[in-house]
Amino acid sequence: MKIMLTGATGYLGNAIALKAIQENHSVHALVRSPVSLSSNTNFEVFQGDLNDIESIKAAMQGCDAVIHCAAMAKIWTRQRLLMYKVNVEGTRNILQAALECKIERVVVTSSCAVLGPSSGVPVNENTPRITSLSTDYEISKHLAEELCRMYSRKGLHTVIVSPPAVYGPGFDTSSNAITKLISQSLRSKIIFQPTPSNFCRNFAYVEDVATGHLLALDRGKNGETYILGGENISYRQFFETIRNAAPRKLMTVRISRILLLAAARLNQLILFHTKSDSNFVPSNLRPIFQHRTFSSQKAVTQLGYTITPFETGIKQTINQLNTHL
Amino acid sequence: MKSQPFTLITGASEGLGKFIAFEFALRQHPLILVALPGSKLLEVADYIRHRFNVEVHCFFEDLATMEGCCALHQRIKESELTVRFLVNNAGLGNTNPFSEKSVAFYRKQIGINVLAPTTLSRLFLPDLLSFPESGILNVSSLTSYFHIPNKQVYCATKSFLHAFSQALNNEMSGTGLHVSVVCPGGMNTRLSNILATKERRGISRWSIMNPEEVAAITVQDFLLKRTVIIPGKLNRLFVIIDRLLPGFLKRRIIRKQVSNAETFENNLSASPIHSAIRWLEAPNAA
Repeated sequence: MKIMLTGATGYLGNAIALKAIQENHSVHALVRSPVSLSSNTNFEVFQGDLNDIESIKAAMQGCDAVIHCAAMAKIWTRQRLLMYKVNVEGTRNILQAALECKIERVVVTSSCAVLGPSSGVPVNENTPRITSLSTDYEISKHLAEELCRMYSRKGLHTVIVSPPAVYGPGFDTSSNAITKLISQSLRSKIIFQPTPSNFCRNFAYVEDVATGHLLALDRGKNGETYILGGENISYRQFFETIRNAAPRKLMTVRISRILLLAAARLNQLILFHTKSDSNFVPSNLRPIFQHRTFSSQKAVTQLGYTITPFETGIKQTINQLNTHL
Repeated sequence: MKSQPFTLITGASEGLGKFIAFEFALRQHPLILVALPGSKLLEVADYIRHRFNVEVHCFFEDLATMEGCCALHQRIKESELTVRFLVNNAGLGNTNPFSEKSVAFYRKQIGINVLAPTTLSRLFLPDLLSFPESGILNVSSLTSYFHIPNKQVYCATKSFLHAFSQALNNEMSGTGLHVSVVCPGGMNTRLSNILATKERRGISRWSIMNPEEVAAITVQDFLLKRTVIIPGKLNRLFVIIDRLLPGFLKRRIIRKQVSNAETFENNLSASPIHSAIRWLEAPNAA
């Protein structure tokens, strides 16, 4: 299949590109600035922008399918409006171009953030939200999902996939925060563990999620959403697994919720005066003190999605990091 | 009586009603949920059954009409379910000059906001009085205190519920039936409200609450038999200030607020954030 892919310069998008080439698909990657991502002959780079529909159509020329993985995956940014421009208007441009270019199948990467926190039972695709939508990221991704459903009713075969927190080897970008945390801990031999750490979260291995995108392209039903998750584990287990898998002994420093939130608030104050974005802000830390468990059962039964156990995934991540250190 | 006593909630598929349903389920009340046909009520019911392990029955009715209300009552009787707590939550808002909407719209709005709660309260009264302790919770609004231009019909229907609930509660003293009315202020229910809240600054932002918080306070206070429930400290302060200020001053403040709101809405609709909402709400969207 010839796949037009967005977000190939990002963490997850790059993993999808590699997986697609490995499975003998050709990839047309739409990127903002020309880069050499792969020397593979099945990989072609198209320069363009999500807000330039003509550049999107040029990249879609001759393709059967589209995987739209590009997004502004930041929780807090000075450029709030840009988040809506990229995540909502950008998605609409992709869907409109796909409809006009008569693309057969479209997969759009959403996020479990749209489904929100859990309480008692793991959240699935049909669980109503137990809190109101709040961050700009959640809202923009929710709006993008609504656009997908609208285009799927217009006859464009559109499948939504929702990964939770993703970890595993890959590009060093802000969406690869868990791998970054592991590599920093390995280097400094200190690991910071927030307390209380009894809250549970779903962690998905990047390769599973990348494979899941291709499965959704192949078998996903029009207008449906599939959670592409991993195991639900508590933060206590999360840190314990990292400590056990680390080649050296790591010193654990426990930080209380109050201290962590205060530091994040201070960081946000500083951010207002410098001109940078950061993921270390209170609204991004709140999920650490909430349950966010998800069920990938639908993807497992309907797509044949498989989950790498967390311990295996962490070991592979650490091995990969060690060869690069 | 064959079955256990149920809590009936209208408009339970989304917004405040959904969160009120969660709060009653948390307290192990078996539920009868009502919403419009085509709403996501079954998903809400499924989640409640799994999460809270309580019995949930769903009915799809349009309560804007007398027939809808009677059909609901009839079907609940036929299912041999008895109602011990009735929550009249379903409602329809409006923010527009009076001339802009049709007579049909206002009649529908009065049907849902006024006639449905009255009809359901009357139809289920024998059920409610058959229990030593029972209750009706009517969802009014803070606008029942403030007579706001552009929300003329809405705030009048909510004032009706405010008066109706207190009079009925007084009338029912000595029976086991308690009637409460809740007057929430601005809430982050619809997506357009959430987006608007993000653009607001100062008092008008602080006073806006999430529906999950409002629902928690409301259900707790209702079960404690408070008659008038105003969630939020700031909202309670607004009501106190309202009582102290002379009429001419109040009218001036409200007019000023409304004109601020109009400028705000105009600025907001020009923002790219709202382009998505416009696409989604376009008539050819479905």
